[in-house]
Amino acid sequence: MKHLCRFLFCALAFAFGQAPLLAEAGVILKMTCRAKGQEAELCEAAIKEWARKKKEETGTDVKVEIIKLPQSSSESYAFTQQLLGSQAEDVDIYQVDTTWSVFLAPHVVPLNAHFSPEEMAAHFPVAIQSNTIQGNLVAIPWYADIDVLFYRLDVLEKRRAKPPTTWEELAKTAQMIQDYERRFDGNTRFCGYVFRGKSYEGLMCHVVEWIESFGGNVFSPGSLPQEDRVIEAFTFLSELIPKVSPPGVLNYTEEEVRGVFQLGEAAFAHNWPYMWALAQMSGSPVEGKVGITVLPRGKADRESVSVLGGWGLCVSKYSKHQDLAVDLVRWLTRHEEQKRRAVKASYLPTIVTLYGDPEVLAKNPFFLPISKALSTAIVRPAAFFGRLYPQVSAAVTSIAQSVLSKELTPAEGAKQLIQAVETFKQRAQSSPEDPSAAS
Amino acid sequence: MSWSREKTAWAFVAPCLFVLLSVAAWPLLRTIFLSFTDAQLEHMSGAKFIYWENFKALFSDKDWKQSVYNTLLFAACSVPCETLLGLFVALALHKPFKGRGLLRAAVLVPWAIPTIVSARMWGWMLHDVYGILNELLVRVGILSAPLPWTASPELSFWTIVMVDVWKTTPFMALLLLAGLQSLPQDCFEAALVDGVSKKRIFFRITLPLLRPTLIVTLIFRTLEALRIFDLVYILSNGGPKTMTMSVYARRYLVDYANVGYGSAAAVCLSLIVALITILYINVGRHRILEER
Repeated sequence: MKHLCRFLFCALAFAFGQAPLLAEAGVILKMTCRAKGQEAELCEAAIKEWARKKKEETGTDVKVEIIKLPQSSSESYAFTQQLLGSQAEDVDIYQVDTTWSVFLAPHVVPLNAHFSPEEMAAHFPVAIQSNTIQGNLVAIPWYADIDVLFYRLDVLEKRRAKPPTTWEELAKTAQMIQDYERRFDGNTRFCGYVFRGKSYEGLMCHVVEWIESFGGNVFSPGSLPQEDRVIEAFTFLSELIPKVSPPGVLNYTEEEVRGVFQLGEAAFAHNWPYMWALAQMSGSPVEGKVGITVLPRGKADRESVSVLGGWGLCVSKYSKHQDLAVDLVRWLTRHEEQKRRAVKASYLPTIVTLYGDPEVLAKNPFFLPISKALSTAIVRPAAFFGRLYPQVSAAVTSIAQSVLSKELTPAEGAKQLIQAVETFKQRAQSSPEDPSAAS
Repeated sequence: MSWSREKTAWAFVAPCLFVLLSVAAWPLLRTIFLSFTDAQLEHMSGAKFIYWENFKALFSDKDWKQSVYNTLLFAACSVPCETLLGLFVALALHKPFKGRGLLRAAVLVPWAIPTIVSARMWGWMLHDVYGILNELLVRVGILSAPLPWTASPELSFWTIVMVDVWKTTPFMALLLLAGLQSLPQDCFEAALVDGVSKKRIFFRITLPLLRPTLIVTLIFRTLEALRIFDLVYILSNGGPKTMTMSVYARRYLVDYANVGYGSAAAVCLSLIVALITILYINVGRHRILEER
């Protein structure tokens, strides 16, 4: 018994004595980073460079550990919410989506105290605005994201088709191409149009784009929803499967969309621009055959609507190395780094002048039209719904899936959607503890 | 003497009891407490007691009913398949033959792979456009067009059952094999001497003797099946039509940060599991008594 006690005591003393020793060896920063496509590698490379520079300049040994975020942004949100919500000190820097700002505000270091007005003015105003809550910049924009329409140059040329300008044209062209490929070229798996159909935030972006480009007016707060326009949009959706989209599309996230398109099995793909660099990479089956355009309009006389996505970096209020963390955030979001990411992997910079940079444009010829779309892009109603937003998003995507799989008629779907969103609007306005409801 | 022995025994058990209480009992009690409050992840301290409101809302939610139905149906479909197949595999592995050790190890592979990994792997194999399974079935001529295994709610339910059967049959086989090996050999020898047919031996000797093991494995498997989470979470399309109770509870607890309501769902989940366990044990005991 005595021996056992002595042994236990020694073991405990060893275990606890070890911890401070490890911490003194150098500063360890922890940062979350997404791992979609080439993102994790880009992040690691930039951080290594920063650590080397830090060591040369100040002699401090800083180790940065990257925590890879889940592929789905809804899951990343849940993860970040758990850590920050419980005031964990474990992570210093978070990669965050523009729709999370309301949640982030009480948990992060306001960055306008650390960044000069000139530094902030270099970014797109809309990107800064969507990250600003009650005058505090919660995150500094890292890259923008905007849905675009990818298409296959060779396939369209073969069928003498032009890139579509309306959703109706898209459906027609895609169906024509799919039929021809399947019937005459024996390409039985070929699909006309692929998009992110799994019930998650990625589908939410699509739904906002489809409905608002038809003029549905459902998601902007304080506006009157147009049921007939929503029905038009849903009619378009209900005719997609299986005529132009594979039934499996209802379980696609961005990487599955890329998988199908990059293997050369789809004529059109609706996805984020990061797909460009990977699809055009040497060795890719569709190398040199990819075209990009802005999203189609609802009708010829209406505007094309794209949802503004995009990610930024924020510093946790509970971090023990805030100054060091801010320094790393500045390094990662600066002009040169955004340029490197744009040239190497087609991430859309948030720094406006990079859209005039010849090196960036040579690698990404589509940036010019897209920068225009960026300035007219709409934001998802995340700030308005506050912490109800994940629920709104789940309800909307679930209804959209039912319409896509024809379980609901377009009219039923439209009615349910408007009703659901209006109910949430009322709830958002009536909950006083919600900081967003007041603004 | 015996008192001091007992004391020593308690001293040895105490750390284990303490750990069990702190990791099992405390969270359970806290979950039950939280299920009566309107706790939000960010405002845990400001939670108000709201009595049965969460449960009322839960019972009127059609998504919850759907997920209870899905879970029960899943257990009812997967557990019998796994037990039958497992029994079959166990009987085959029970016979001595060359390379049996190697085969026994190989059979366990699906069980040994972490579910997250194997579910992802199945997800890729089942992909409708670039998945290998569709490619094979179409080439062989069984299917005329690729199927969206994981996308349509009806089909993805059966896909999940199939993957679960693939994964869990080895586990059942292992447990039943252990049971088979511990059966008294004299009954079998006597039967052989008397010239009883193989079929008769199986139904009259093996199966009755194996019953206690079977009941334990069935209870084990049913409990596991009722809390199924990982396969559904990874393979299904995330809509409410394929949700199980655990997926539903997680959605409210984690995605919506609604700790009170999510806890209510979790409490109902544990109640349902407890109820079914009690039923199982009672039915099992009843049958054994009847035979006597």
